[in-house]
Amino acid sequence: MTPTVAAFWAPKAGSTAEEWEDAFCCDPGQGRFSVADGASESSFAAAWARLLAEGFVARPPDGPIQREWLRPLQEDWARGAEGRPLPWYAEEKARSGAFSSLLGVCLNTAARRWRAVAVGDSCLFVVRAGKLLSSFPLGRSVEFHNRPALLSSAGANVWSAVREEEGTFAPGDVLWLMTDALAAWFLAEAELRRRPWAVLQRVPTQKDFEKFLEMMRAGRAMRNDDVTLVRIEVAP
Amino acid sequence: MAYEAEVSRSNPSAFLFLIDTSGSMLDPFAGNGKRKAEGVSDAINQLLSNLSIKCSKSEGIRDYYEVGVISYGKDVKPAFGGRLAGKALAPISEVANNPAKLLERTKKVDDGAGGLAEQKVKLPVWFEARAAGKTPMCEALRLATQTLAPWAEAHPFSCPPVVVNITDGESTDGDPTADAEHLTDLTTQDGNVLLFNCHISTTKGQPILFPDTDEGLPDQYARMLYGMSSRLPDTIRESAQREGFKVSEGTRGFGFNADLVELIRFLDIGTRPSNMR
Repeated sequence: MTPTVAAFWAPKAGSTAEEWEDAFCCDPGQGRFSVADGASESSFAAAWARLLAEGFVARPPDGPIQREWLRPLQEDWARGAEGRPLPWYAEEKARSGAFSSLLGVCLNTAARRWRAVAVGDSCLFVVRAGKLLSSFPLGRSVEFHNRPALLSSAGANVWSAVREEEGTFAPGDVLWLMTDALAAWFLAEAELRRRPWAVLQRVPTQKDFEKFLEMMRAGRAMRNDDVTLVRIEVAP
Repeated sequence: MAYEAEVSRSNPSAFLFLIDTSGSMLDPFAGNGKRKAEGVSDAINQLLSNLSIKCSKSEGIRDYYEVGVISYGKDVKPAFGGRLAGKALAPISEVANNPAKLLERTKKVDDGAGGLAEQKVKLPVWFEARAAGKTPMCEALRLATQTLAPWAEAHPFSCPPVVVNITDGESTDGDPTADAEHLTDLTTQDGNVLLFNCHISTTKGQPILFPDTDEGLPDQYARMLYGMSSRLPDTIRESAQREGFKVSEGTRGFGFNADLVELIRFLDIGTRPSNMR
């Protein structure tokens, strides 16, 4: 059965919607989902994040992410960055490539199994019956820091940074995909035996999500960053 | 909590470089034929280029920083040329878009297939080497204070400015300690202005970077510059640590006997954006 999916996103406070550099892509029918977080230090990062997120859903790799899977996406990125005259600094910046995390999740509904691939600190959480069952690729809130391994659109990639995981899901489970600032809060709350999923479950619309973020940032409960959330509810 | 403010377009930070352009800067670096004046101008141009690239985004430059260069030698003045002439501080977008010259060099890079490919790179130049006159360091510090006092007042929520003073010699207009104190007394709500000093030298010897004591410094003058230098805030100290420097809570932004390579490392760590949003 096709799961029920909702997705929310927002740029960091002080930035415009056009400056949001995360991406997500969902194909509930095929059971494919992704989020990606373009590194704000790089340029053309939003385009790279979008290529990765859409690339995963259109054509998920059979195993871990490898050079051959990534290459056509890198070529697409280079074509997008080329072709317009750039000032010297933008030319130099583009040369060093864009960087992004990627988390991709495939659901096998018949077998009730999920498979996830990740580079970086965007996270998948599986919640069953009010308990956090799986946390991937990071398991603890202290593991979030400023320099996660990321996928590069131009330079050399660290293939050992690619992580894979599999698990099961059951009717009524909720799978959450989120980028790092929200994921760090989520895990920290879970470690305090609170129920962050219950809080997020009460955020029905994009507008409510923005209000929720505003409150969290004002209270310094969450780092000011681009945020993306995908909620996948398996029918009970 | 200090030095934790986000660096953003609404709350930019600032870097101000004070560059000794006295006559003795014509002397070569220790162990290197390059004149100190040229080495320093190359390093500053490289640094401004790196900062411009760092702040460059798909849509253009984001003004995370204001940047200035003050030279002191024959006279004490803002050192930018061309359209930036006379400006003690300018937003990084204005700096990036107005180098005095834009040179093109070819460099060999890894072609990804085990060979080398030629790549054209742009080398912007803002600051040309010069060296004449004495070393009016006190006056330079006072001009820095005059420049940054209104800036700090206008940017109360910003991460405080970092001033980097690069010199090869003794101040010729008196003991600079009091003027340095006036400069580092300036504050935003996030902390005091930081002053880092880099002493570059003609004599050979092991460079000392980011020390936490003045023991081992050979003369009274080096100790004075050490004493004027700010302690590293946590973010910069962590950067220095990641780069392999032995640091402690007392570590100061001071370099002694730095050669060109060490000067560039010193500038890179001292100006590393920690918290750009």
